[in-house]
Amino acid sequence: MVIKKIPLRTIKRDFLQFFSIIMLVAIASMTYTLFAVSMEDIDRNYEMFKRDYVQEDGYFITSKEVDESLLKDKFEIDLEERLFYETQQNGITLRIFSISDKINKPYIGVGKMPEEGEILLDPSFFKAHQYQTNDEITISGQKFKVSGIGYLPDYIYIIKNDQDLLPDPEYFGVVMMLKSDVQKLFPAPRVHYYSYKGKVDNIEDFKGFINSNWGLLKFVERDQNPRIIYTEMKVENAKRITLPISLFIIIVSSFILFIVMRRVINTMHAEIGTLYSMGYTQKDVFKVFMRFPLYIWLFGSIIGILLGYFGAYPFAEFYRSFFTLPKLTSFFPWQHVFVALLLPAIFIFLSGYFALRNFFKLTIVQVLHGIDEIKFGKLPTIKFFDRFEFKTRIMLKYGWRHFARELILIVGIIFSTILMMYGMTAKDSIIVAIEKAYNDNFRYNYLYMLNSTTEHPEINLQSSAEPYNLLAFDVEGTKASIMIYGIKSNSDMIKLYDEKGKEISVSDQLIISKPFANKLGIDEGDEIKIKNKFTGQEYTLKVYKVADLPVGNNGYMELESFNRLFGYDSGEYVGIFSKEKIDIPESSVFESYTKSELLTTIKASAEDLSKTIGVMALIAAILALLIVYVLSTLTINENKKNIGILKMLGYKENSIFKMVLGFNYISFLVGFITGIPLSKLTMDSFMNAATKDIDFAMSLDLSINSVLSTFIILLVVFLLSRFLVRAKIAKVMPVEILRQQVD
Amino acid sequence: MFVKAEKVSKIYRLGKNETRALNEVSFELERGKIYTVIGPSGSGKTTLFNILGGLDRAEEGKIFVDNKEITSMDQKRLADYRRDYVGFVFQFYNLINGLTVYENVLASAALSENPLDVDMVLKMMDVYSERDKFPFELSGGQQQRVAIARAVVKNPVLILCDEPTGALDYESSKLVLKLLEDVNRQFGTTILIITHNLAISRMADATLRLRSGRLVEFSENPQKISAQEVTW
Ligand SMILES: Nc1ncnc2c1ncn2[C@@H]1O[C@H](COP(=O)(O)OP(=O)(O)OP(=O)(O)O)[C@@H](O)[C@H]1O
Ligand SMILES: [Mg+2]
Repeated sequence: MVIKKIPLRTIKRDFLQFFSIIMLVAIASMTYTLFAVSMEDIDRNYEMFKRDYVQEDGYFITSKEVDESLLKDKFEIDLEERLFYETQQNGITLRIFSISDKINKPYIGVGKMPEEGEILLDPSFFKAHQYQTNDEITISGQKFKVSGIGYLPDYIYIIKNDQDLLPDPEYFGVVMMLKSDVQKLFPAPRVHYYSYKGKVDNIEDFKGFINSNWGLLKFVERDQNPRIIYTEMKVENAKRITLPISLFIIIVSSFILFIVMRRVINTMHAEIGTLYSMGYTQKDVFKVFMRFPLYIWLFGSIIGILLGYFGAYPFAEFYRSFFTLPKLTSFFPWQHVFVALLLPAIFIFLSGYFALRNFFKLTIVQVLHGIDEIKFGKLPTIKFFDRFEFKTRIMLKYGWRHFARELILIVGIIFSTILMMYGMTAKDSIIVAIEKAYNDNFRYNYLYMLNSTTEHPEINLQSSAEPYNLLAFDVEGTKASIMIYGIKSNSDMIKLYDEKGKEISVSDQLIISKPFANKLGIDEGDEIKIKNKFTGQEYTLKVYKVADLPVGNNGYMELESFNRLFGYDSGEYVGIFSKEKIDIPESSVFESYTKSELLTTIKASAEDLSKTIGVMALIAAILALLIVYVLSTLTINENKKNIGILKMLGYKENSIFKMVLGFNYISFLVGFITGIPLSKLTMDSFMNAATKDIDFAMSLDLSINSVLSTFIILLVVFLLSRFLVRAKIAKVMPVEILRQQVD
Repeated sequence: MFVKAEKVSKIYRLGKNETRALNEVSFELERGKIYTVIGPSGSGKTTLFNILGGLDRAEEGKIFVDNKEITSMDQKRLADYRRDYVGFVFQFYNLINGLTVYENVLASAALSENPLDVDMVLKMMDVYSERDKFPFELSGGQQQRVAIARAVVKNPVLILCDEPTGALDYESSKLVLKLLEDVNRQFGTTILIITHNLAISRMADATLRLRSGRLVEFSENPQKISAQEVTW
């Protein structure tokens, strides 16, 4: 049938408009494919890695050597000791582990398994220091050869200390070597490190048993190990964003398409009527005009899937290196490709179908006249509008007439606002807030965690240092845990402020951090029931104040009150905050780190993070651009005749623009303003959902900065699309009036 | 009798108001003749055109074409009727913008069981040299000739024209009329031309005069002249 050529020809003729619709579909499929495929890729590879390289169910550190077979039999678990040691050289901390046979086996990403005198390096450290296989590296005065890159299942988020938020491969690395080599380097281990695999029914019994027999120093279950769950949380988070975003984009583009399809058919009414008059049936016409949705879908989703699919692997690679997850296998995620094809198809074909069906209800004579003349013969005559000045009146009438279109514009702007705010706030919260916390709240420069809680007579505390005590508790009825610090009253190291910025002084009552309060949904005056992680002893404490800290599951009390409450002697402590580096016998130190290390880390990671944020903001901006452009072009195409008349009457382009599209400004503002509280709402629910089952808390606040930047970016995009549309108005010549009549 | 209309009425209702666009119109048309329909604006000419062509439905009365009652046909059979019996020529051409001149005519030929050769018809209408152009590249007269070509090519028994010269200048109008006459002579097609222009009735075998929806006169024209001789 020769009439099959009509759709493609029409698309070519009005290329920019159809192109922008196709791009809308493409972005919808691309976003979905990009996120879904990369997440699936990361997920599957991670699951395989966890299973095949036996990720631990937990680890613990004891002061005495454990009777392995006794523990294994009693609790029916698998257990493996892992020798470990830490060295510092040139400011770089290396954590050295022996390579295990059963639990937490390294996956060799590059190179080969080390032999005697050889080592594996963690991927981030390897990359950050630009090592090559067979390079030499000196550890504690002994030379080793780098045999390759090793991924450890329990070190996927490679942070030095449990409380670190971001990895810092410049200054911290994990080294894997043969057990015999570790023994040669460090013959006398001070503590013993065990990984276990298997489900322990009563974890308290387990801990108690270990503690009473061999002295438990540290016990971390898999689900509370930040080196594992941070990554899992981020992957989970990314997955949670994927579906709503891609669904929303598809829905928005489909609604726009619905309107566009109608217009396309409406402007071609005379042609459809003519086809009918020639003897073509509804079925024939249907077959021809359904090609519009078909082409839009086909081109859009194929471009989108290709972009998304080829983008997904670098994207996954980027995330993988961010989380240091290995790639074990490749696969073709046909189910996601299928969804990315099917989802837009459903919406697009439905909207095309309804638009056409609407048309089929008319008689051929009505079709020949055009639906516009039947439905929109005149601008609505609503008395209310008559009180305004002529131009404003016309503008309001246009807004009213294209009500559905303005609504979609509003929804589109809301969505772009949310998307962009999400990106902006993520940056704000993670980078700025942490920096702020370390400037305002945590004022120490060095933190030392000691091996035991005693009075430490061997340490001479200067005035620039303060002792602290620390205990970890599980919160009853939740999976959350809290670290309660005992600190000096009027501490110079930890400053706590309330919501209004007023300083809170520590006392014998509990102060908790805001994200933690948010997570548990508790407030000042509420009580929480907590259980000592080591002894299992329970306490019920009243929350005295909530301190405005951006991150952390932290609680604070005055040191002496802390000691009394939790059964320590006066003067005992487990760690030191200090402004200056202090000399402590190495055997007393369990962990230590400096604030500048942390801040360098944050700055380094800011760059990585801003890439992800950039992707989101870019999608948001393109989306906004397309929506505004498509909708405005539509309005102009439909009103060519009126624009022609206004021009003929002598109105300037400016005034015409204001009359026909002035309402868009109002929709833009309404969309943006509605978008702000909605952003906060969606972000909070995302965050809560993402951290619900895990031991992590962080609060997201919209800053003036991010609101302003979002507004400016969206405004620029909005003005840009209007600028493009304006060129179209300029092109409408008064002769259009005549041309339209000939149609 | 080729076309037979019996008390055909078309009623438009707008709220309480009722317009009888056609009011009990009856007439008979013979095969192979040329008819004109005249009458003042709003008298129901286009309405008659639509109903005769199966583009719209009458509320009352019956129309037979070739002994088939088109007033009782369903949508699908009406489409068949339009396809097999009728060619339309509209005042504002109604060509399909996405198709070239050739394709516009081909789109019509493709529906017919015994179409004429597209290029032959294009030559006959003197638009062969424009065959690969799009409608918006043509003048009004050229577009109307393509529209006639489109109506003629499927070799229908009835061609309905609603003010075919309404938008054209004198020369172009005369050419269009001559071509319609050629078609009538060559293929024996029955042609019904709606017009404001009384002069055109002189080339017809008979003229129907409408006023306020009623057929007030049906006059045979014994002194029929050729299109060439028509002047105004
Ligand atoms: N869709 C409609 N709804 C209501 N009334 C209609 C409609 N179409 C036509 N009419 C009315 O029917 C009557 C006949 O209209 P018609 O178009 O047949 O006139 P006409 O003779 O073709 O006039 P003209 O020479 O101006 O084209 C008119 O009074 C017109 O107002
Ligand atoms: Mg008329």
